[in-house]
Parts: sequence; structure tokens; C-alpha cells
Amino acid sequence: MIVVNLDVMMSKRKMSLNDLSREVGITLANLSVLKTGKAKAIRFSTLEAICKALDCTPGDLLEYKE
Amino acid sequence: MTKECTLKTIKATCYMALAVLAGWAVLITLQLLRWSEIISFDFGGGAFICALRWNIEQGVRTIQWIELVGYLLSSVAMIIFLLVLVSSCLRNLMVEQIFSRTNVCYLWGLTFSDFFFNLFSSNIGILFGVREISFGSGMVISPLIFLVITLLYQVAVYVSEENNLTI
Repeated sequence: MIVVNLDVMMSKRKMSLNDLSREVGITLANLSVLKTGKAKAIRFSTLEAICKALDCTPGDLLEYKE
Repeated sequence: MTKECTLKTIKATCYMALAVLAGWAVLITLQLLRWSEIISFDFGGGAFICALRWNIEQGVRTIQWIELVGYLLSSVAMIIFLLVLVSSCLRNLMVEQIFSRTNVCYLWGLTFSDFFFNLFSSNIGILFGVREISFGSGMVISPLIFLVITLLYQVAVYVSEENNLTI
């Protein structure tokens, strides 16, 4: 399964969900869905925006676990 | 056709369906009132608002009772399922979330009740002296079409839910 490590990256960058929401332009509700792992898919544009905001790579945000 | 235009068309169709459903409910009420002899006027046009011809044979009378109860119950079930489905569609249109899981349940109910409604309505002549039970192709085709629509709608709900959870 794919695990989203958004909360890990946010704490590393000391960024709150509100700040990220403002910077990326995604609603808090959608960011929360992403953070809690309820999302079914993520658009490249969203991934790119989050990576830019958190200064990381997609590999830092997404992880494959058996 | 643009999205707004399609939504407007769905809304207009829903209101038209509600008007037809109201008419249908009136027809069923009039039939019930006439058959229970609360009112005494007869109405033509194939509306079956006329006196029932009860048979004196017990076996035939039992079949007539089954036909009467089955027809009324399936008609009421159809009207209720259609009413809740159309109302739900109108509510969903307001929030632009057309596909919902509850509508799938209503569509399943509609599919089953449509089968019984077709069975009983095609044999309504039994209540007026006809002594044969018919099983027409319409009895199968209509529920099958409803079944296909229900299954397609169910897939649409899954796709819609997945789409909503795509961030």
C-alpha cells in the first residue's frame, strides 16, 4: 500500500495544515483527506505544488509499504 | 450540451416526473375508491375505474384477491420509490453531487417493484372477468432495462466517489 507521509514532512518543515493549505491552494478538507490516507488518488499538479511548498520530492511524501 | 444546460434539463425532467407521479397517485386512489365502492362513477380510457367483477368460484376469487393486492402494493411501491428517487435527485442537484449511494438503494427497489408491477398490471383484466394469466415480454424487458440502469448508476457512484477523493 501507498502511505502518504505528509504529516512527517510538515513537522520537519514546521508547517501547519493552514499554512500549507494557503500556499498550495487546496482546501483544508482536501489536505486532511490526503493526510489521513483516505485519498484514492493525487494529481501531479497537486503533488508538484505540495513538493514545492515543502521543498521535498514525491519520494519524501509517498512511501510503498507491504 | 453544456454542464449547466444538462443540469437544468435534469431539473426540468424531475419536475415533470413529479407531476406525472402525482397524476399516477390520483389514478391509483380513484381506482381504489371505485373498487372498494366508496365512489360509484365509471371512467373509460382504460383507466380501470369501474366496478370489479368478483368471481363466484373460490379459487378464481383467491387469484383475483392476489391480483388486486399485488397490483395496489406494487403500484404504491413504484410511486414511493420514484418519488424518493426524484426528490433525492433534486436535492443532490442543488449541491451538484448527482450520484449518491442512497439513490442506488432506491433504484434497486424500483427494479424489483417494476417487475411485480408489470406482472400485476398486465393481468389486471383478471379483476374484470378475464380468465387467463399472461406473461408478456414487456414484463421482462422493463425490469431488465431498470437493472442495467441501476448497475450503470452503481458504477457511476463508485467512479464519482473515487473522483471526489482525488486530490
